[in-house]
Amino acid sequence: MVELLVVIAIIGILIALLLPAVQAAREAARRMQCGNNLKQLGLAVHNFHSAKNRLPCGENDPDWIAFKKPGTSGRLDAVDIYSPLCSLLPFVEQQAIFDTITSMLATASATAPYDSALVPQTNISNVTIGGMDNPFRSEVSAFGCPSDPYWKKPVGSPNYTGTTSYHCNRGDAQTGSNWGETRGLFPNGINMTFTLANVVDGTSNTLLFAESMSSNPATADDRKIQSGVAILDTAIRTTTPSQCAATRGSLGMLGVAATNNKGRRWPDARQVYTMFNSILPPNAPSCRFNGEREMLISASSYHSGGANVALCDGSVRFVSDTVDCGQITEVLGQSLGSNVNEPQQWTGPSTYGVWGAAGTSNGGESQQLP
Amino acid sequence: MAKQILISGMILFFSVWLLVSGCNKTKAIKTDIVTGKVTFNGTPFAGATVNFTPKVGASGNPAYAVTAEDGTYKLQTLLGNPDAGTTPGEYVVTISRTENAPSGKKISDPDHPGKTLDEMRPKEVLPIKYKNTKTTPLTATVVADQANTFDFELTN
Repeated sequence: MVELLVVIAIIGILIALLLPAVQAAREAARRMQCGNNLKQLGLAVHNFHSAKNRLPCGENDPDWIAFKKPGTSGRLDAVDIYSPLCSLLPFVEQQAIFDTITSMLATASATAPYDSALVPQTNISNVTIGGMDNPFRSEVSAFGCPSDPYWKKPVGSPNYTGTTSYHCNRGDAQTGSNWGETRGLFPNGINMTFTLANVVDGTSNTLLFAESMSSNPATADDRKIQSGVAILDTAIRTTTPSQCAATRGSLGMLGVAATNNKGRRWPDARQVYTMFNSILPPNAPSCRFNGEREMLISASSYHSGGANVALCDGSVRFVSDTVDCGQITEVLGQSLGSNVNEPQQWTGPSTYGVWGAAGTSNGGESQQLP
Repeated sequence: MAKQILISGMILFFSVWLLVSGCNKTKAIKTDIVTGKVTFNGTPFAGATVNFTPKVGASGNPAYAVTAEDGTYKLQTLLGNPDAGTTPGEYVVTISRTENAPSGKKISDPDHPGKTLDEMRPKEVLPIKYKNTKTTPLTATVVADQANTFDFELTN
């Protein structure tokens, strides 16, 4: 009789333990699927590199600016801001979308000078040149973290551009998206293109992608720290990252007004849409400095305690919120003698600890992520 | 019989204890509140970033805040809770406010083909000496287990 009671008690306690764990198990599964998506993107970059002997560019990618206006030597409007994710489409089994983009650009290059469907705006026309479905409206599942609640477009807004949860490494310097300097991996293609040989710090020590959660399309003032972008509207260069970090308020919310455009256009190379900076740790605030071109975007996720990242060697890691970020109260390289008026031109080691070092491709530090 | 129940009870207790305590982690570090007020030429100064950088070789966590409308600030760190201050130690204090000013040059606007945007350059509002850790005259020593107050009076 007593044995029976003990057995019943044990079963009761086990059920009490297991039932609440079901939600956690589902989140663990989503985190693994997210890591798998990042792994595929990492492999896509390696396949791109095998095919073209270079990495995709952060802006002004040679493949896209090769499309000229009819009868001129100037590029088509808006192709300068086509993102690395556009270039990677054939390597994540989205050849059809890629072909639609290239044929749309080829038609525009041959006949029409400008078509608004070429610009990846948040709300775009559903039909593009030649009567094709607009390719930018596609939801590409390889670009979506299953834990990102706003990755899917709202049901009532089919004409929104597709969203991405994964952002490309723009390095540990606060820069505008069209600037020549990058300490990360996705430079402005007009100035330079990168190959894996540029990753002097070692491919297993350098970040390629990180997740950063998409903004909530339903509100103009998205204060959630993972998905919102705090509005500072101060100068991005010569500002210490701490100014952005200070926008953190209580309860995981931003303490100042915010915008809601993070990640909301996978074809757009500007930082808020597809780039991140390895300055502030995962789940720290992201900030807007000057329009859409000058942003500090931090990695973020709804996985507990950190965010998934992909490294240049194709591996995927989970980086904790508590990763060492060094002296975020200084501008880049300040204590080592950088030009504090143009800190983005600093070529020495990162000021921002292990996380900053992981973001530089050629900072002269070979620190491994913990 | 009683012994069996005791043993199984103990095994159960320990397995439950292991499960419950296994993945517990603490994020926030222990900090001491640091507040104060920034004035520039005698008037409260809003929108300035106050940075506490640990002195070379000293202990402490980099801490920061932006001043409110009345010039007051409450420091926070990356690892601590918001407005919770920083860990004890000696700090170099830098204060700056940088604004955007048009440089006069125009750049193309990708969202509106054919139109242009003003190129922006940074403009310092406060004297530059307060901005650099090497030139700032300001320091602070945060003491444990008490509320720390540092007022900074900046002048041209």
